[in-house]
Amino acid sequence: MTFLRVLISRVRALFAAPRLDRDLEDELRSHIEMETEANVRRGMTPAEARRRALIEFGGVAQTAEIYREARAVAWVGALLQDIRYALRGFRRAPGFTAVAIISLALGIGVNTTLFSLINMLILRPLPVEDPGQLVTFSSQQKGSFPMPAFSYPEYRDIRDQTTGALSGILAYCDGLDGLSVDGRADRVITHYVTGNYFTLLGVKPVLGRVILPSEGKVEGGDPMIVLGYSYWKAHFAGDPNVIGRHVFLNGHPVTVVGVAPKQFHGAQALIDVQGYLPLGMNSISAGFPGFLENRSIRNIYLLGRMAPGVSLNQAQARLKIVSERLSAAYPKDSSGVTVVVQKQLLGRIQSGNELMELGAVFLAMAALVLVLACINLANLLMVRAAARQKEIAMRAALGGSRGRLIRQLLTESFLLTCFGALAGLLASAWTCSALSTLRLQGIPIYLDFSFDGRVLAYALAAAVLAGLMLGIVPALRGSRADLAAVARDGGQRSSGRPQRTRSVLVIAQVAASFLLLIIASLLNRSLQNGRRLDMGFDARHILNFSIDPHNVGYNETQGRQFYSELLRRVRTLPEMESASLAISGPISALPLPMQVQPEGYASPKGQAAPTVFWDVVSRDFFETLRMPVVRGRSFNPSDHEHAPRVAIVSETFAERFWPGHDPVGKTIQLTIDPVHPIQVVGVLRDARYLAVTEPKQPYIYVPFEQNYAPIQTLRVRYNGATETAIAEVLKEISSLAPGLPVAGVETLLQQIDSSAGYGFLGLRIESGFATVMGLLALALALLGLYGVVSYSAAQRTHEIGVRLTLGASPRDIRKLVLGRGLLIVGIGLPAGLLLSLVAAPIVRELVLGISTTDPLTLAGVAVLLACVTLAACYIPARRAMRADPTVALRNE
Amino acid sequence: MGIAQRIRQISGDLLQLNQGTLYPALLRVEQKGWISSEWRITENNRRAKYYSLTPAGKKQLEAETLEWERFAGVMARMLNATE
Repeated sequence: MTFLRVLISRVRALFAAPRLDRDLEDELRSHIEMETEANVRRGMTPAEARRRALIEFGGVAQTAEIYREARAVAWVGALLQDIRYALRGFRRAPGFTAVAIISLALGIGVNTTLFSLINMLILRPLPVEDPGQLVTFSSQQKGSFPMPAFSYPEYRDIRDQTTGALSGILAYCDGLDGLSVDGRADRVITHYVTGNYFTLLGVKPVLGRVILPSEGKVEGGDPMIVLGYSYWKAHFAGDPNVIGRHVFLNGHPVTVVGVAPKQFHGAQALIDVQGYLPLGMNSISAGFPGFLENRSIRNIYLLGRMAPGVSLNQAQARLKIVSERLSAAYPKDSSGVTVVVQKQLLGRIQSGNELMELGAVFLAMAALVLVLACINLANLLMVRAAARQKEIAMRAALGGSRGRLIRQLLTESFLLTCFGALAGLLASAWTCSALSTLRLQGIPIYLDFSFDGRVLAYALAAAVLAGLMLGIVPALRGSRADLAAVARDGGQRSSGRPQRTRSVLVIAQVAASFLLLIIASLLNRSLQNGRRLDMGFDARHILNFSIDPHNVGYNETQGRQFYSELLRRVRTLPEMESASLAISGPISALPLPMQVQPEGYASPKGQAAPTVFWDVVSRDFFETLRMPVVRGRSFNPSDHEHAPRVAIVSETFAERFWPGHDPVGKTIQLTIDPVHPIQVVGVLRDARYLAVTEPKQPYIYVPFEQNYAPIQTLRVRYNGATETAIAEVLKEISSLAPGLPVAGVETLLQQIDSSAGYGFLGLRIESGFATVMGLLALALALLGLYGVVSYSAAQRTHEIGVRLTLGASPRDIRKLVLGRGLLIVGIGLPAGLLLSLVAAPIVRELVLGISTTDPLTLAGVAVLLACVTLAACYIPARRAMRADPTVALRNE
Repeated sequence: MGIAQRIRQISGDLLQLNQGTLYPALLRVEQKGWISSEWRITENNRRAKYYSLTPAGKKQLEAETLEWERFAGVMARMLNATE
C-alpha cells in the first residue's frame, strides 16, 4: 500500500514538476530567511546572519537536486531527458531524420502490407464459432484431379458415416442470381445451404431468423431467403421491416426471413455472399432437376466441424473407410474415389500450400528490404556517432557513465524506429484500403485487410527487430569514446575500424539488392513472356457481357428467343464484326468439369471415366475468338435444338482418347446423361482455354442451341472505340430485356489481366511487388554507397588539402576517394551474382519461359547495377577533387 | 526551520543536523502519507510551510516508538548482561 502511494505521488510529481519546483524554492527561501532573522535577533549583522544561515543549511542547490530526485521516479526523469535531447537532435538534423524515418517507414510498411495480405488470404479464420475446428473436403478419383465438389447423395453418405469423428457437416452450393424488388434486378451471389449451415457455424441472425435444420431437403421447397448484411444495408437501407417481404429470385417469389450478422460473409473466405436460401431452392438457380438424388451431379461444397478430441488423422482414417464404401457401392459414379479432409484455413484456397510458399518467398524479400533499410540507418547513425565523438567524449569526461551514454544513443534509435513504424503503419493502412476496393469480374469480393492483432504484432516485431538492428552497433561503437584520441584530433578523424564495418555493410547491401533486382527482372520477363504466349485464340478487340435472363424470370423458351434475337441485333450494329455466347469462355475462372465416356476408350482398371473440361458455346464462337477448326467442321445452323447432338473436341482430346484414329464421327457419352450420345463433328486447335499457363488439356465444346443454359457471356469482336461498343451493346440488351442485370463488362484482355488463378493477375502482382522491392533495395544500396564514399571523403578533407598543396593532381585525388567505392562495388557485385545463382531458384515455380539463371538477365542487372553504383561513387569523388586546398587545410 | 531548531533544542545541541538533509527526509515521509503539509502565516507575518502528523502517521509513530523501545530495551539488557 505504502509502496503504491509513494509510486503514485512520484508519478504525479513527474507531471507537476514546474509547480513543485517553485514550491520547493519558496520553502527553502523562507527557511533561510527565518534562520537569518533569528541570527539577527542573536545580535549578528544582517550579512553575517545570512552567511551563518546558509552554512547551517549546507548547500541549497544540492539539497534541491536530491529533493527532486527523491520526488519523481529517477529513471523516468532520465528517460524524458534522453527523449527531449534526442528530439532536439532530430530537429537540428532534419535531413538525417527524414531519410531515417522514410526508409524505416518503407521497410516496415512493405512488410506490414504484405503480411496483412497473407493474413487475409490464409491466416484469418472465418468469423464463426470456433473456426479452428472447421475442415473442408475434396474428392479425387483415380486418374483425375482433386475437386472440392460433391453430389448431394455423396454428402448424405459422408455426413451419416462420419458421426463421432465430426460433429457435423454442412453443404452449400453457390449461385449467381437475379434478385429483384420492384421490377429492377441485381446480380447477387447466393449460397444454397443445408438446414444446419447456420447452426453448425454458430451464426445468429441480426434480424428475423436463419434457415432451420428442417428446411432445404425438398427440391423447390421452402421459398425463403436470408439476406447478407451488406446487401441489406445497401439495397434495403437497413430497413427492419424487410422481414416478411416478398422479393423475386430469378423471377420466383421468395420471402425474406432474416438478415445475417455483419461480420459473417458466408462459409467461403473472401466472397461476400448476399443471400442464403435453402439448398432445395437451387433448382430455381443453376441446379439441375433431380440433383438431390443424382450421384453424378457434383455441385455442392462441404464444410465440417471436427468433433472435440478427434485429430485430423483420425477423421481422415474414417473418411478412407467411407471412400472405400462409396467406391464399392457406386462403381459408375464413384469408383476409385478418395475423400480428403483438410483444415479450412489451408483448404480455403485450392492451392493453399503453394500460396503459403509464395507468401514465404515474398515475406522473405520484404524482410530483406527491411534489413537493408536498417543497414542504411545503422550506417547513418554510425556516421552521426563518429561526428559526435567530441560531444560524447565531453559527456564521458563530465562523468556520464558508458551505460548512460549507450542508453542515450539507444533512445535515439528507438525513437526513430517508433516514428518509422508509425509512418509505416499509416502507409500500409492506406495501401490496404486502396487494395481492398479490388473487384474481380463483377463478383463482390470481400477483402478485409483490417489490421487485427496478428498484423499489429507482426508490425511490432518488425519494428522491434529494426530498432535493435540499427541501435546496437552504433551505440556500442559510438560510446567507446577514446578520450585521448578525441582530444588529440579534435574529433575530426575516426579510426579505421568503423569505416571497415560500414564498407562491409554496404557490400552486403549491394549484393542483396542484386538478388532482389534479379528476381524482379525474372518475374517481369515472365510476364512479358506470358503476354507473348500463343493462347490459341485472339484476345484483342473482344468485349464481354455476362447476362442471365433467368434473373428476370425468363423460362427456357423465352431465354432462347432472347438470345437469338440479341445475337441478331448485335451483329447488325455497324462496329460489330461478330457476336457469340459461351457459358465460361477463355480464361474465365469458371471451369466446367464433365465426366465423359469416349467411344471405344476404356479407363485403366479401377479408375472412373475421365473428367475433362467442357464449354457450351454458340455457333459463331470459334469465329469470334478466331479459334481454327483443324479437322471436320465448325457448328452450323443444322445443329439446332432437335438435330442429333454434336460436339467439337480439342486436338489433345482426340490424341488422348483416339490415338491414330479419325476423331470425326466418334461418339461420346456423358455420365450425367448417358441416353443422348454426342457425335464429334470437328477438331479444334489446342488453346490455353482455362488458364494462361496450363499444359495441353482435353476440351469438349457443345453447341448452345442443343445445350441451353441461361447464364451466358456475350462476346463481341468490335472495331473502333471500346466505350461506344459497350454503350451500344448495353442499349440493345436493355431494350430487349428491361431491368436485366449485366455483369463483368470488360474487354477480354482486361479479364485475362485481372484473373487471379487463371490469368495474369498473380504474375502481375508478383512482378510488380518484386519490382518495388528491387528498386527500394537499389535506392537503399545507392544511398549507403554514396554515404560511405562522401563521408570518407569528408573525413579526409585535411589529407586531401595536404596532398593538393604538395602537388597532387585532382585526378589523383579522385582516384583516392573513388578507391573505396570501387572496392565495395568490386566485391559487392560478384557476391550478388553468386547469391543470385544460389538463391534465385526459389522463384523457379513462379517464372514463365525463362531460366532462373538466365545469363542475359544476370548480365543486364550486373551492368545496370555497376553503372548506377559507380555514379553514386563518382559524385562525391568529383566534389572532393574540386576541393580548394586552402579551405581544406583551414578546416582543421 | 522550526523543526531543525526544535531537534537541536531537545537534543541539547547534541544532534546538530545539516538542516538541508531535513527536506528530502520530510518529502519521503510525506510521500508515505504519514505527514501532511500546508502553507501558513507565522507569528512574524511570514509564509512558512507547516507539517503535521496524519492519523496514519500517528499510528506509524506509535508502532515505531514501540519497536524502538523494544530494541532499546533489548540492547540495554544485552549491555547489562555483558557487565
